[in-house]
Amino acid sequence: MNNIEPDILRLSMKGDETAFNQIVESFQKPVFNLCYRMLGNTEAAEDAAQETFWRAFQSIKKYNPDRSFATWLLSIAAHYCIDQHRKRKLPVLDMDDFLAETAPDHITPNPEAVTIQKEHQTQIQELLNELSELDRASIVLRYWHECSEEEISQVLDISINAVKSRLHRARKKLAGAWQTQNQTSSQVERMKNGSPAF
Amino acid sequence: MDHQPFEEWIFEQKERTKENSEKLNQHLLDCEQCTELQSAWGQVETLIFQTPMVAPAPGFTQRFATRMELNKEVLQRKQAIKTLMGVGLILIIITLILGAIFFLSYSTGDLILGAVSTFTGFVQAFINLRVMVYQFFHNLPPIAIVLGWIILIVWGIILTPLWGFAVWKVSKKGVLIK
Repeated sequence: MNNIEPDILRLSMKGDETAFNQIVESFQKPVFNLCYRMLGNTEAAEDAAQETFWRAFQSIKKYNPDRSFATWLLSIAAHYCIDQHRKRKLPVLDMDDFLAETAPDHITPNPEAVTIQKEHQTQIQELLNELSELDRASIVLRYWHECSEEEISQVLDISINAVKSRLHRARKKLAGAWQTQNQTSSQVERMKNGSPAF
Repeated sequence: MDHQPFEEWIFEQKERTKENSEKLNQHLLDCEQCTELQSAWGQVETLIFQTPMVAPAPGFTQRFATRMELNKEVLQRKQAIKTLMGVGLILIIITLILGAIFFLSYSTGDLILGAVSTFTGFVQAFINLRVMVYQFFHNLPPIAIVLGWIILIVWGIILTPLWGFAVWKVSKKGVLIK
């Protein structure tokens, strides 16, 4: 995970806003990604990411430099998203809005790549929606943020054994959801290609 | 059919021993359910690896700086309201305590008598003041009255344009609050 320069951290801990803005600049992508994967909506993710940084700014004086800064920041984001998710039923994601409003991760070479990326994003988000908040957070942190089980346990404030069991359960559920999705789509395909009943 | 520990091995990322791999492969040959599960998970994992991290729309840091300013203002306002409410509450409590002590220390008759005598005292003091002012102006030499008027007019001439200038400046530039 990303690390931060000690000077910037020291200045931020003294309340220097310019230094803190550099932290925002460095960590905006991982924080936004976690929020987006957790909430499945661009606007909600933007709001959650902004709120995460505001909370971090308010409590940065309490931050323990012995701990990884990225873990600490992602922990704030994950807990905020879990709370938000529990508070309300989230609207269905709109991938057109997502692609129009968010910057691409890399320069997309052609419309075909955009379509494929769009399809992947939709598919993965549909799968993630099947998981509970903590299971989803575990998967996102494991695969997109490449966190170790220990780091996930620190971010989510749960034991390593709980992380292991959540990852196992989440993987099984994702595989099951994938099977169900494919069965449904192949049935639809068969119905499209089938001859009329009369 | 018992799918343990094979199911665990399918989802586990740790390297398996040769013996365990052979056992898993044997089980997969016999168990269609586990084979499908393994295939499904493989496809999901591939999909995850193909899906990149999502970045926010450009200008995120700028939007955060704006939001931080707004949040700080809201926080300051909340703190000011809290302080005012705290002070107000303390004043109300003090008033109530003093009121309770006051009403417990005196009888109703004493309170009415005290109120009436205070009121008449104020009226008497006003009458005395009026007499004093009247006597003062009555005993002044005529030149002092003329001098008083001159001073008033001069101050009026100086202060009126200054007041006008201040009003113009405020309406033009606003008030700077730090």
